[in-house]
Amino acid sequence: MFETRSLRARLFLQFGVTIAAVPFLIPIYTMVSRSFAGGGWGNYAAVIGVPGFLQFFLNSAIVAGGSIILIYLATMTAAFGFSKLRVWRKEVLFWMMMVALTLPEIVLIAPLYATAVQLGLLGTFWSVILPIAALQIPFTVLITRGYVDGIPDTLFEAARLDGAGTFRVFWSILVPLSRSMAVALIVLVLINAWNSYLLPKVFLSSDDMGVVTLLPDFFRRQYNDDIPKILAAAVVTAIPTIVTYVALQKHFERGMAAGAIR
Amino acid sequence: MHGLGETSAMTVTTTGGGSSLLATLRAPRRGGQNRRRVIHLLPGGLAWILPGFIISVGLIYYSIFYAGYLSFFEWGGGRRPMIPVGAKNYLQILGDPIFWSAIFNTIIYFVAVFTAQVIGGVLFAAAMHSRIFLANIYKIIIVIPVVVAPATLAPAHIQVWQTDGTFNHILEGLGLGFFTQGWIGQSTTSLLVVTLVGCWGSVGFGFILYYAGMAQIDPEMLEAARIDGAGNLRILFSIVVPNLKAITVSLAILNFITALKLFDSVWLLTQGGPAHSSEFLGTMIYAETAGTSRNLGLATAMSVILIIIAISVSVIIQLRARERAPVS
Amino acid sequence: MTKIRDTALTGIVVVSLVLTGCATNAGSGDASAAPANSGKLTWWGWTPDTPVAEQYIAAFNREYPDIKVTYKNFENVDFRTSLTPALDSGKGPDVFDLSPAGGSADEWGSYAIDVAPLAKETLGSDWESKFGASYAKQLTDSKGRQVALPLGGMAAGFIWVNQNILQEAGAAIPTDYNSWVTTCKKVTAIGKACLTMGAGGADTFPTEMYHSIANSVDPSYFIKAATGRAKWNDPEGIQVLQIFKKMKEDGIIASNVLDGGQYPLANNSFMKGDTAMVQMGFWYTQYAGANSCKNAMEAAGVSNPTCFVQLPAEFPDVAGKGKGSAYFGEVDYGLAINAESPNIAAAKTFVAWMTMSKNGQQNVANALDLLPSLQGVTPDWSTLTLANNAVQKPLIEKLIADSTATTQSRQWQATKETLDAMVVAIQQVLDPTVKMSIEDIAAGQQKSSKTSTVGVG
Repeated sequence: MFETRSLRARLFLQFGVTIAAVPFLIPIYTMVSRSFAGGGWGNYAAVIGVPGFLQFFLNSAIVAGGSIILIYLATMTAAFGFSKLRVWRKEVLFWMMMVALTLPEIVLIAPLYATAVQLGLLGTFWSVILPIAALQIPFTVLITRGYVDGIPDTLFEAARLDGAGTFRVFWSILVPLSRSMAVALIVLVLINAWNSYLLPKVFLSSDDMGVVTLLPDFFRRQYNDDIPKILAAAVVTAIPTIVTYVALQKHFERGMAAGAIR
Repeated sequence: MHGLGETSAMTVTTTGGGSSLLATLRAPRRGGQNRRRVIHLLPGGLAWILPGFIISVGLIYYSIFYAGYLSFFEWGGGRRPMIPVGAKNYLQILGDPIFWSAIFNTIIYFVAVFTAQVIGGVLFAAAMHSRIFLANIYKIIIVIPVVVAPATLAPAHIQVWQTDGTFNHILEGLGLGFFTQGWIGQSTTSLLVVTLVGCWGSVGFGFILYYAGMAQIDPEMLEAARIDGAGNLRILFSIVVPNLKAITVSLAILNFITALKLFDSVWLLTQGGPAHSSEFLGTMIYAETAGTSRNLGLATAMSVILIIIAISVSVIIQLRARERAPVS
Repeated sequence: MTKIRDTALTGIVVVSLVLTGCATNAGSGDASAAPANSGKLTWWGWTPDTPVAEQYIAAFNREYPDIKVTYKNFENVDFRTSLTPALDSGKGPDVFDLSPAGGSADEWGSYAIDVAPLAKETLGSDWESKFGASYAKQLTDSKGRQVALPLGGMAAGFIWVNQNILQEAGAAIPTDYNSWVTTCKKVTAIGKACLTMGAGGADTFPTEMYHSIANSVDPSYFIKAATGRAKWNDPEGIQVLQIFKKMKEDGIIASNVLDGGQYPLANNSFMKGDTAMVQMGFWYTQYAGANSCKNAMEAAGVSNPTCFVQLPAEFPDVAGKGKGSAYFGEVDYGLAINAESPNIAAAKTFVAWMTMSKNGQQNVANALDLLPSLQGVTPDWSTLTLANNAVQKPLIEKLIADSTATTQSRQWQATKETLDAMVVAIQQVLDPTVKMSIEDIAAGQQKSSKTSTVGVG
C-alpha cells in the first residue's frame, strides 16, 4: 500500500508501526507480569488446581459447540431460503430478522430470566446457547446470504434439471461451496460464545456449570481478592481464543473477504 | 466492539455493508427480470427459513414485547408482587440526571472509539499491506484485544490505570511524574479510561476489516495515481479510504450499537462510578436487574428506550448512507 | 418437498422437545421434616472463605459423618446475582447465607422455611435470648417469620494498625485528629501510605467509615438519619463529609482511595504491608492468626511473606468532641434453609449444629472471623496461634468483649438506597475533580436516600 522504496522510508515505517503497537502491548504485559506476583508459577498451579478446572473449559466448549451447531444449521438453511428459494413476503421476513441486529444482550436478561424460570431452563446450557444463537443468527444470516447470492443461480438450476430435490441441492452444492464462509462463521461464533460473560454469569449458576470467563471470579472473594491469581486465570482463559485466531487467521480473513467484502 | 462478538459478526455483515449489507438489504437484486421469469419454478423455501427465524425473531421479539409489558410494572423479581405503575418507570428514567449523563457518555464513547477505530484501522491496515518486517506479529498484537473477552481483560486494565498502575509508572519513567493521577477513581477521568479501553479493543477490528477491504482494491488504480505523482498519504486518503466507505459506514452503525449496549468492560472497570461518572445504559440496566433493590420494571423500561434509540439511529445512518452512496 | 418440510418440522420438534425436556422439576421440600443424621447438602454463601467453611464442615462431620456438605463461596455481588435465579429455578442450594442488611430477609425469606420451631425445639422456648442481642430479630422478615438462624455477629467502628510500620516510623497509634495527622506524616516519611481505603465502585464498605466518623460527631446521628429522624444534610452530616475531605487533604486517607473497592484495594494494600492502617470490622481478627495472615499476604501478592503484627485500635476522636466511634454491629449472617430443598431433614441438623450447638459455635469463635452468635462461647486460646500472642491476645480479647456489648446496629436499619447515596456522597467528597460544595453533596445524598422503618419504635 505504502510505497517504501528507500531503506530510510522502510525503516521509518517499521519504526512508526512499532511505536504504534506498543500501547497494545501494555495491558498484556501488565497482565502477564503481575500474574507472577506473590506465588510466581504457583499462581498458575493454583488456577489449574481450581476444582473442576477442566470442567470450566468443557462447559465453555459445550456452550460454544452448541452455539456453533445451532447457528451454522439455522444460518445455512435460512441463507439458502432467502437467497435461492421462493418465500412469500421474503423481504419482509428478512427485515424483521434484521431489526434484531440492534438488540443488546443486556435487554434479554430480564425477560429471558422470567421465561427461563417458567420453562425450567434456568441452570441448563440452553439458557445460554439459545440467546447466543438468537443474537448471532441475524448477523450470520446477513453475511451468509450475501455470500450465497454470489453463487451463480445456474449451478442450482442445472442440478434441479438433473432431478435433484431441494435438500440434495442444498447438501451437494451449497454446503461444499460455502466452506470458507463456514470457517468464518465458526471462528466468529466460537470466539463470541467463548467470551460470553453476562449470560453464563446470570443463567448458569450451579456449581459445575461455570464457563472459562467466570474462572477469574473464582479468586474474587469477600475476604481476599487474589489479584495475581485472577490475572493468571485471565491469561489461561485468553490463550485458547488467541491460539484459535492465530491458527485460523488465514481462513478467517478469507471468509471475511468472501462473505463481507465482495 | 469488544471481542469478535456478535457485534463483530455484525460488522462483518455490515461490512459487506457497502457491497453486501446495503446490497443484501436491497431486494430483489441481481437480474430482477430474469428472476421474475424463473420465480415460479423455484421451490418454496419457508421451511428452510423457519428454524433461524424462530430462534432469533421468536426469542428476540418475544423478549422485546415481554420487556415492553414488564416496563409498566414495579417488580422485584422472583416471588415479589408485580405492581402496575403505568408510565411511571419511563417518567422516572427521563427525569433522572444519571440517565442523561449515561446518554452523554454513550455519545462521547461512540465518537472517540469510532474515530480511533477508523484512523487506527486504516493506518495499520495500510502499513501491513506495505513491505514490513514481521507483519504477522504486529497483526496478532493488534488483534489480541479484539479476540479476548473484555471480562478477561478488565483486571489487567485496572492494573494499568490504577494510581499505582503501569500507566503512571510509564509517566514517571518519562519524567512526567507531575501528571500522574488516579485515573480510574476520578469523575473527570473515569470515562476517559473506559473510552481508551474501548479504543484499545476496537482498533484491531477496524484493522481486520480495512485490511481485508484493501486487498480488494485494484492495484492498477493505485499505480496510476502513483504515476500521476500522488504521495503515500494522498493515495491513502483520496483513493483507498473513499473506496472503503462501505466499511466505514458499517463501523459507524456497529460502534453506535456497541456504545449503546456497552456493559462488560465498564462494569468490571468502574461499575459506572465513581459517583455515576462513567455510567452507561448497560450498567444502569444491569444494576436494576441484579442489584439488591432491583426493579425489573425500571430495567425493562430502560431496555425499551435503548432499543428505540438503537433502531432509529441505525435506520437513519443506513438511509443517509444509501442516499449518498452512488448506486452501482 | 415433503421431505424438506419433514426435516424442518423435525427440527422444530427437536427444539421444542429440548425446551420442555430440560425442564427441571423443582423439588418440593417438607418443612416439617425431622432433623436427620444422614444425607447430602449444598451450602452457598459470600462468607466464610472456603478454607474456613471447610474447617466448619470437617468439625461437623466428626459428629455427623453421614451428612456430606458441599460449600460454594461467591463474591458479594455475585452471590446476589446467582442466588435468586438458582432459587427460582428450584436448583438452589439447600442452605444459604442470609444477611440482615438491605431487606434481605424479605427478598429471600420467601424461599426459606420458618426455622423458629427448630430453634425452639433445640434451645427451648426462650431461644431468642440465647443469642446475642437482637441477632434473632434481625433475621426475621416483615411478616415476623424467622427466616434464618444467626451463625455469628460482627462489629465495626475501629481501625487496624500495622505495628511494624508504626514502630519503624517511630509513630504512635493516633487518638485524635491532630495525632492522626502527625502519625501519618511520620509514616509517609518512610515511604508507606497511612490509612488505606477503597471507596470506588458500588460497594457499600465506605459507609462504615462514614458511620465511624458520624459516631465521633454524634453517636446517635447515624441511626437517626437512617430512620428518618434526622436528615443527611443536617449540620452533623455536613461535618462528617467535611472531616472526610480533610482526612484526604491532610494525607490521612491514601490518595488512591477511589481506584477500587475496599476489597481488593484496601485489603491488599494493608496485607502487603504498604499501609499503616485500614478500617475493617471484627472479621479482620482472623488475620491475627499466624497461618491465616500468611495466606492473606500471599493472596495480596507477597512472595514468602513474614507476618507483621496487626492490632485493633480505637477509632480516633476525629470530631474533637472527646470520643472516637462507638462500636456498631449486628448479626453478620444467618443460615437459611431452602423451602424447596429435597434435603430439609439433613439441612436442619446442619443448621442447628452450626448455629445452636456449643461445638459448632466454638468453631465460629476459634475462626476469629465472627463473634459467636450463641452467648457464652469464647475462643479457645489454647488452640490458637497468633503472629504475636503477647501483644495481640489482650487487645483481641478486649475487642471481643467490646464488640459483643455493641448496641448500635450497622446496616440493618439502613436501606440500600441510603447506603448507595452515602457511597456516592463519599465519592464526590473524595474526588478532587468534583467541584460541588459539601452542602450540595449532602443535599443530594438526602434526596437519594430512603428512610428505613426497620427496628423503629
